Amino acid sequence: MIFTSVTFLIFFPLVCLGYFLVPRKLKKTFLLVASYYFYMSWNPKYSILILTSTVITFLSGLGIDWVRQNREKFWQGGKPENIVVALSFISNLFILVFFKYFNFLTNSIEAAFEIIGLQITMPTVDVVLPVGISFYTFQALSYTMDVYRNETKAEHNFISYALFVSFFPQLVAGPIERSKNLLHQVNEDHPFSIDNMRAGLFQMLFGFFQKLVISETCAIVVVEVYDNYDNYPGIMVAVATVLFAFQIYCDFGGYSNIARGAARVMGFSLMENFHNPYFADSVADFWHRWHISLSTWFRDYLYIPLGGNRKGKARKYVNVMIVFLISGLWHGANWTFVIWGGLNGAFQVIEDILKPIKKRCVEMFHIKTSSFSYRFYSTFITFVLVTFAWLFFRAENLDHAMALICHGIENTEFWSLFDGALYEMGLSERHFTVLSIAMLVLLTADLMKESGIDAIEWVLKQGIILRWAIYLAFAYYTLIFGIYGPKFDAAQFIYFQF
Amino acid sequence: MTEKMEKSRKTKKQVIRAICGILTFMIVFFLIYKPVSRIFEEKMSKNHRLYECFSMDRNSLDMILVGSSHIHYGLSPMKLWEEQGITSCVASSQSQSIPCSYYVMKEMIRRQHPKVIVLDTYYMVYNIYARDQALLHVATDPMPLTSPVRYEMIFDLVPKVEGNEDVWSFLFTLGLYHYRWETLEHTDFYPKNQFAKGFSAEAQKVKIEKTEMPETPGKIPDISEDYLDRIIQLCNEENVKLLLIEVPYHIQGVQTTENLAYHLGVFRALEDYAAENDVPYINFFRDQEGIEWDYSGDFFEPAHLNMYGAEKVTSYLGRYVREHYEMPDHRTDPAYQKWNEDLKEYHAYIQEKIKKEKKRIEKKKKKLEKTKMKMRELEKEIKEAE
Repeated sequence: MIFTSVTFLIFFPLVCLGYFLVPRKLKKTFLLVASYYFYMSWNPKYSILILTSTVITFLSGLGIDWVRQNREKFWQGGKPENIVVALSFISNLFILVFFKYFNFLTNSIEAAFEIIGLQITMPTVDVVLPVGISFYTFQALSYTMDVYRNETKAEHNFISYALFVSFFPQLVAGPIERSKNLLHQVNEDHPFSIDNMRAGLFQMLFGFFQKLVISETCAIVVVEVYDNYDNYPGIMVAVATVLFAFQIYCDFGGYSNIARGAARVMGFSLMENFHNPYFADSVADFWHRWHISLSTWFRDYLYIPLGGNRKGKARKYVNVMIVFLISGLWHGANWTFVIWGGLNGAFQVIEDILKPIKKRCVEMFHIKTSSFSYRFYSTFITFVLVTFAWLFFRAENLDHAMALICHGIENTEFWSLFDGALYEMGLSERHFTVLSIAMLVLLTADLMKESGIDAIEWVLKQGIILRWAIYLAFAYYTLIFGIYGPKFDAAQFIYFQF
Repeated sequence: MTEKMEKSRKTKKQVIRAICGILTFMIVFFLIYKPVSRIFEEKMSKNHRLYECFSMDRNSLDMILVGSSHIHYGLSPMKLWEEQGITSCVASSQSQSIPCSYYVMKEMIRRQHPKVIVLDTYYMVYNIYARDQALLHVATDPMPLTSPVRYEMIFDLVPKVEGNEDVWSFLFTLGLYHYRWETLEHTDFYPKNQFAKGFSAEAQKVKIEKTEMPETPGKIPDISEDYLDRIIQLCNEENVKLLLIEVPYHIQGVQTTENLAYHLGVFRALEDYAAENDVPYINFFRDQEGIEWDYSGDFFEPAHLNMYGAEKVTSYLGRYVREHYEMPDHRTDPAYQKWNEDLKEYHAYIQEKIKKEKKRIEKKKKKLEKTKMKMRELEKEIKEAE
């Protein structure tokens, strides 16, 4: 079930109620059953896959422990636990690649042969992508690595481990949790706390607001312009891409807020996944603020094993490119995602290369790097670069992306920004106003966060009348201006295809 | 007290605070939800009559008139008031199916405890729960949010009517109608005063043919019969007199000849059915003593009576209920003074309609004169040219 459905709005309170009422011994099992029920509401058959990944990685943890304890008995030197890790990775990645990338790989091989003039037909598989597979696979694999690196103790209780992998708030679209953070929480007591409940519920409400009001409204223009770009001036491709930047932020960020809020109501703490990403002053900084759980996963389990920045500048750039190309591929079985990842990697490499030049310029011209104008400039440039890359992320395929860019350059018609054409792409002027107000609220919340003030805590500190007025304002703004219901298509989260 | 007991007591306190807080918040939320969702509902087009009827003062109506558009063009509560001093309203909606009528009647009985409830039997011919989900909304949306009948109706009928909506958009209409925020109008906030109590007067005249009732009865559709049974049972339990009527209409213009026989067959069967269940049935397709139909002047379109036809039916019905039931006469009762004021507005409304129709006819006459003149000129030109 998706979060923005009536089913979830019934499921969630019932699960919370059950969780707090059920005796302590049964709480883990209860949550595990609820999580599998949540997952199976998409497709019951694919619960076998997540169970398989869970069992393999659970056994890998036990296996590594056992190998270490019995090293002297069976092996003379060497590191046989490497085999356990390798088996765990190979089997899980095999499942992931098969379900997600099989057709992409076969189509790419066909295309490659076509380029050299050979026609071949490769088999295709007709599978529906199991929801959340990229997320839970990575989460389960991180456990194997953490046990191997002695950063986590192997979990001996299967229920606890299974719950760690399938905990429903973060199961389908992250945050990709680490055993260090979530596994011990699964084994701990979480007595009811009214503060947690209020903070969690408000965070969920804010997530719904982000998703249904901002993300879905932006999507109206994005879909219209990206599908019919020829009908609009080229500058509107840029406008739509900027709106897409907010669509995906509020879609994914909104989902993460709902996930973290839901977990918080039950007393769990999930990691922060987004930290005001569009306030970043460099692309490198952006990736410390966007999808933090994924970037840190790649840093810890790919970038650092590749050598990170410990083997010289050239190797560092190569590592960065590898990580971002693969990260792009993680997002989807399409070359557009690879290019998107590659662009983000390339921007960071170029930023790094230009660093000394930048430093010299700053010194030469006595530029105040702490000044508002400089910070605004850095933030603005970063936003432009990141948004340009988003174009590839959103485009259907490479041809589409190139067509959009060409149209944007050749038929820009910059003045159409001022002649009312903005209001003919699916959103009226009134609707744009509604969206702008919502964006202002988002900006305020993010600005507060950037200044170190937790917006949610700030609201909770207010008097009851103001607090409730804020809750009701968010609730009714979302109910009235949100894009949901039988008159619109069901609000689907973008990241569900991963 | 041990630390554990202290902790447990603190948690219990928090739980109680949380439950109280949530319940209070939900009450406040609902208090706001009620008027907000009403504003967004589409009230004025097809179903304003139901909204009006459900909001009339409790226990103020002697008679309720229920059915589809046939009855809101066919019966005038203000005429009933004028001639008999009986208070009534037309609780109808477009294409109201018999199951919907059942629930409308249930709610109106709950609110008004009338002496008599009148059901027009036109929709008995259709074996449906509702024409489609949009028309089901037309009947469910006006139901008061705090009435159990609303929820009974939704859970009974929504699953049985095809469409892409589920019960939630019927239970929480804001989830369906919120998109109207861009097109809200004055009447969404301030509905018009409906002095006519649901009646719609039309002054146009259209010629139709008389239809004769058949000898042999047809078959009453199952769904209609099922809900008619429930209506009969409801009226018996609530001690309300049920009166079935069939307001006349011209089928030939509306349906094909095949359905003509079918419709009349159903009404014929209903006559027997009503007799079996001891329910009076006034079938206006049959000649009724005291009513003289003018087949050129009583209908404004083949399916619906105009105000002249409605006056005839209303007068007849008024005399009938006066004769057969102990109906009060409130005309001199000071508590019902508002009805006399509404009557003045009603008369003005009728006069307005007659005036408009006269103007329309004048316009057409003028157009005819102009066309005749043009024809004469053309004839002249042709003659001269020849």
